[in-house]
Amino acid sequence: MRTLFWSRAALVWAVLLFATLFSWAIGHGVGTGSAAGACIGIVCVSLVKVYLVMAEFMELREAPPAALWVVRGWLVALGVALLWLYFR
Amino acid sequence: MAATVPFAPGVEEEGVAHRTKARALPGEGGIWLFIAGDLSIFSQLFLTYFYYRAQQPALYSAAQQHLDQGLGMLNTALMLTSSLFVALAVHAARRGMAGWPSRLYWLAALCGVGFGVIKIFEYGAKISHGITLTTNDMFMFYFILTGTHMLHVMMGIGVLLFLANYCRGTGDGRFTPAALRTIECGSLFWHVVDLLWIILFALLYLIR
Repeated sequence: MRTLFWSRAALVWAVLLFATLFSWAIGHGVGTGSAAGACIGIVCVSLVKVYLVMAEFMELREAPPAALWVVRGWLVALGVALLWLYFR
Repeated sequence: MAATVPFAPGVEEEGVAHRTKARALPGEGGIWLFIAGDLSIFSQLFLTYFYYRAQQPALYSAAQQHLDQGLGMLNTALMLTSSLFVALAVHAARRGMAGWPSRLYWLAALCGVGFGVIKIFEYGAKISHGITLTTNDMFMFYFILTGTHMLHVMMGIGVLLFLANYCRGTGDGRFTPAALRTIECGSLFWHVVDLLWIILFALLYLIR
C-alpha cells in the first residue's frame, strides 16, 4: 500500500496543486505587472498542467511517442490561438 | 508476441496480468477517438469564449469579479485529487491489490460529488443574486461552459461508480487484460473531465 501512494503519480499531484496555487498567485499580480502578463502566465501554467495530466495520469508518457507529440501540438496550438485572441 | 500487443495474456507476474514493456495506448482506440472529439469541441468553445471576450474585455472583467475564485480553487483541488485516486486505482488493479481499486474509485467518486455540490452552491449563489444565463455574454459563457462540464462530471461519477462495482467483482484482485482495458477506458474519461476543468478554471476564473 505504501508503494501505491508514495508514487510518481502522487508527486505529479503535488506539482499540479502547487501549479494551481501559482497560477492563482499570477492572477493576483505575482511575477507580472499587468493583466496581459498574467494572462500569458496563467495560460502557460494551465496548459502545462493539462500536459502533466495527459502524460502522467493518462499514461501517454508510456505510449508511442507520436501520441505525446499530438498532445504537445494541440496544447501549443490552443495556447497560441488563445493568446492571439486575447492580444489582437 | 508479447511485445506486439498492449496487454499480453501470457505475461504474468505471480499470476497477475500487467502491462508489458510494449509501448501502446492505454484503453482502446474507441475511447481515444471519443476523447479527441470531446477535446476538439471544447477547444472550439474555449476559443469562442476568448473571441467574444476580446470584444468587450471591460464587461467580462467586471462580470468575472462575481465568480468565487476560492470555490474554483477548491473544485480544482477536488478534481486533481480525484484524478490521482483514479490513476492509483489503475496501478492497484494492474498490481492485483485486492480491494484497493474499488476503494480508490469510491474516493474519486466522492471527490466528484463534492465538486458537484460546490458547483450547485455556486450556481445557487449566482441565481439568488439575479445572475442567470441571460444576464450578459460573460455569464452566458459561464453557465454554458461550466454546465456542459458538469454534465461530464455527472457522467464521470456514473463511470467511477461502475468501476468501483466492477473492481469489487474480483475477490482475489486479479484482472484479465480485457478487464484492465475496461478499467483504463473509464479512468481515461475521468482524467478528461479533470483536464477540461483545469482549462475552464483558468479561462473563466483566473484570467481577468
